[in-house]
Amino acid sequence: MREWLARLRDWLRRDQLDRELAEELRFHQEQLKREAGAAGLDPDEAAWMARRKLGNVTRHREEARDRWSWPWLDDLQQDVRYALRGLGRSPGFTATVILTLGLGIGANAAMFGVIDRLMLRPYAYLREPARVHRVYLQSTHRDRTRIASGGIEYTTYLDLRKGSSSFSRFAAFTSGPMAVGSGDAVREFAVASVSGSFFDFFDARPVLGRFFGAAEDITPQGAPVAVLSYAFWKTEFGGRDVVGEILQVRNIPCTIIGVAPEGFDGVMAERPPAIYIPITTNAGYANAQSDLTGYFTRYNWGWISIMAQRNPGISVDEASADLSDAYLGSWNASLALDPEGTPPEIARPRAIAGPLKIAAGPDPSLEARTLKWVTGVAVIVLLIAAANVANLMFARVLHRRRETAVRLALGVSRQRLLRQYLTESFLFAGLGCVAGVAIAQWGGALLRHLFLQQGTSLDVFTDRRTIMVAAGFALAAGLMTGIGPAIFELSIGKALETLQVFFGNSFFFVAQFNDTLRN
Amino acid sequence: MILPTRRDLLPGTLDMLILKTLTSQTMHGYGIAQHIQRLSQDVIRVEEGSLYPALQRMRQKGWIKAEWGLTPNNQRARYYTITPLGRRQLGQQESSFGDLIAAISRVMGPA
Repeated sequence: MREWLARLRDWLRRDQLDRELAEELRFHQEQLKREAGAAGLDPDEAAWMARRKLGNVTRHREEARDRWSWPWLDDLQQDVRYALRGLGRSPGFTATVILTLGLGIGANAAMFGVIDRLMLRPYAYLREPARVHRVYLQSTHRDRTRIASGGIEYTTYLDLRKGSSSFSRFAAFTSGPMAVGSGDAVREFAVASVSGSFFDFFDARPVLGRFFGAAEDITPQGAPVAVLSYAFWKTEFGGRDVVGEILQVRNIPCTIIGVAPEGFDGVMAERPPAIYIPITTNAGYANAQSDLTGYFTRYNWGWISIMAQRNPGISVDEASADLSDAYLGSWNASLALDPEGTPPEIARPRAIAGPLKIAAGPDPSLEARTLKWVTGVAVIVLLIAAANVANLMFARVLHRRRETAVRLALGVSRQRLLRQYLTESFLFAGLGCVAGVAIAQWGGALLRHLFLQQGTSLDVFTDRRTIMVAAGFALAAGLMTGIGPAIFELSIGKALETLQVFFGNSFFFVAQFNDTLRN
Repeated sequence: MILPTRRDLLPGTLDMLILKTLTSQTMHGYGIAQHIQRLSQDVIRVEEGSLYPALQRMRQKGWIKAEWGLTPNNQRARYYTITPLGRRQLGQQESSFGDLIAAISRVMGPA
């Protein structure tokens, strides 16, 4: 690898290396001459001896030069230069092709960015992501089956945790906007309320202070402590030592105890929280004026989501069955408090250990389904764009067939020509990719608005995954638009030329074909 | 003047010889060739056709460094220096070369 880099570096300064080598060989020859002169030979004879000893200088130079010459790289450079010249010669064509491909690639890059966040991208720092589930609760009311991924009672969470044995960790979490700060400086930020066990799911270490744990997450009222997100800490506090300071979060005077590492969003990447507080602190202070025990003893306030880490060796189905038993117990407990509720025979309560991302879960939301459709459309848009560009390229090929014929007659190899035309279409695709990423960046605002919650960061420029996918689309587009016309140019193009020579333009097919493409 | 018959070097030995030569001091290409020829008592003659490609290859592998300098006669020449990576490489080559020589002499039997 290191050697290849060195060779590439040498290739870039090959002219200098050529000169240096020539000088080195000249020096060598002079030394040989001097040596011969010292041995008593006359200068002419010495020079001849030296030349004979050194042998064929040109051959030596060629052999050493092999170490930094890469013929195919030279060709590539030439092809790119040639293609760029061609692009500059027909700016209208170039702009049309780049814009068409850019729209196709941009639409797909933007869609991928959204899909990736909603369904694919793993959560940063999450330990054992394959065994961490979101708990979905299914029940039937009035003949309608509902699958809840959130809005679950804290009491149910406690029941599931106590009643199941297939999981090593449970955490309750919820996230929403809260007023943060005091006086004139109050502003709304996303605040995550999470169990003390929440941070154990992650392999993350606070950059400052510490996370909160079970000791601060206690019923009826948790401790007033807060952990800041890295981004919030940087923008609001300038990254200074904030541990011990008081931050007013809604009606909770929180003591800041730590700062999460960069990129840590918990499991709320769709809307990264600015602040984390214990979930019982949220509930305890929210109900401080009324009933402090209701939220963890009764079943009338559904507001949380549940995540759990499955034990190794237990299958997802076994874990779901175990959870369902616990949920049935919880259901019966709630019936005992409220005999008016739906009996389990009708409600058929069931719990599912599903994927953390709701969009990939058993009941994808409407947005997730819409998203799939829009993605399908985006892919079709790219195909249409590629087909259009391929068409334009075909027209260009016909336009250029005289040039091709001349070059072939002059002895250019067909492979070389093919490579050159492919270089051209890949160059188009590459520029289209750049245009596409820019379109995705600035045009993606609409998508963000439709599918992601506000405050989500969707910066295409800095997102390596999206850029990679855009490059992949560009590569595919380059192949699609390049290979057809290139082959056509070299084979059928040639055949057409021949036909024309034999039959002239009176051969109606050729004439018509040409007219079609010229228009 | 009768030139001794050219001996083919075992593959890879040229690199080892060059590296070994450079451990004593920084040298230019001509100096390296002279040094090897002298120490081998004219048995090994390093051909320029193999010397310079080998030097380029070793430079790209990071075993040696090349820098332009002046000879005592005030002529510009390219001087080669062995790098730490080159020294490590030399150590490996020396030991495997030793193994090879021992193996060959075992096959050839006691003289």
